[in-house]
Amino acid sequence: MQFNANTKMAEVIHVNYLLLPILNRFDIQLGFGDKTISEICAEQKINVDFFLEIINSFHDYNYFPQDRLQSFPLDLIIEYILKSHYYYINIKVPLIETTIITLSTSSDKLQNKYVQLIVKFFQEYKEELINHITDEEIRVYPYMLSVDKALRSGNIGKELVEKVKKNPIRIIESEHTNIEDKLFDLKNIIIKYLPPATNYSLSNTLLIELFRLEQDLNDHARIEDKVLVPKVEMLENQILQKL
Amino acid sequence: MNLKKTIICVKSPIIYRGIAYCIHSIQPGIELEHYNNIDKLLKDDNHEDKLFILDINLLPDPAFYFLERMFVNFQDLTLIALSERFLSDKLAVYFRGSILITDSEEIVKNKLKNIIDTGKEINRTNRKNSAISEREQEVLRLVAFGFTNKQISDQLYISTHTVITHRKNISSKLGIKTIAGLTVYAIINGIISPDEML
Repeated sequence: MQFNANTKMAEVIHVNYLLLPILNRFDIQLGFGDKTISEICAEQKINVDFFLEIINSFHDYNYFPQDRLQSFPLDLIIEYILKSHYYYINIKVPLIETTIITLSTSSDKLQNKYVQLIVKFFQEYKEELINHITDEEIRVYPYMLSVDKALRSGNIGKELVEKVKKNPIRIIESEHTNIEDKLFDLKNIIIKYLPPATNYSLSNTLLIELFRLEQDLNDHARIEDKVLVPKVEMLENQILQKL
Repeated sequence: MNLKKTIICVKSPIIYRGIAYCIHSIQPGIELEHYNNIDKLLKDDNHEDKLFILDINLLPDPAFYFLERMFVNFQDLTLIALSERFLSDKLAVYFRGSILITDSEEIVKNKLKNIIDTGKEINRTNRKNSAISEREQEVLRLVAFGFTNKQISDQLYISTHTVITHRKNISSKLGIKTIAGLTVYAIINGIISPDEML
């Protein structure tokens, strides 16, 4: 099913609780009562169309209105992505870290030898994820926003034109590291190869958290690759045509 | 394992000296003995803290049948194969590892060190169940050490194209793509020891 403006917000969560962190990214808190999506969005001054496309595409992987998503303002999309970054780094990663450490302290000596490999692996992954995100926030998004701003103000600087010509978004993106493969490997190692932990419910918790993070990151990557990058490419072309 | 003695079962005294040299450079002063035929190995029934290195040319035909019968009596035997080529999967299950005649000094030392360090934690059943072949394990070891495809091809005397094919097969069999992930797999399965990674 697809959610629409008249769907009650409580129903959204009943249908798919994995959307909870997505709602938080729009500063929507629990305690909805019987309010509909459009009512809550109006209260919180949220672009309801954008909100609907984001939750619907996360909820149903086959629903992905690429053109429509690209039609939203760039700063709106980037703001959503920045909130997702905050969630990964400040909430999700620490939660997974704590789970792995608890798993380690509740393991016997032999098992812990293997859990330590996971500790180290995830530590490395965390560093990569932080580097990836920092690079986007410091280098990539400011560039994207400067392209957008120049077009809207009509004030297209020489320096920006050089960047568009020499280092367009396609090139920037191709230099960008892949953060999905390592997470998938970690999951598969735990599922297939790690000797089973004595505390199996903790292993389950860890795996479930990894699956959730992966799903969120995949959705995130899809918005970047299929919405953000093509949109900025389009803006870059508009700049080049104006010369 | 708490290695006390190594028995090298090989005809050639020169090869015996070579392996003895490698063992002594990783474990100086360890007791060594040279058996130049298989009968002596069969009579030796005290296997505790001993490592047996066996030239597979000394095995009577069919080798796997002989080994199977030997392991019925000697379940605690830690056996390393010495051979001219990679062992077939059928034979590999009986050995804790294998040394190739063409291996460089460094590789021989690394392999021996790995087996001595990990000892018997990994038993034969594990190797039997290993998802990848002996040859792929060789490639995986070197990948985990961070060698490039070119370096791996030089060390194993195969083309870089073959290295790439092995790597693709390893990744698709295991469902692990990244080097970090492959390294964790290799450690869990005793293909490398964590100490080697330092």
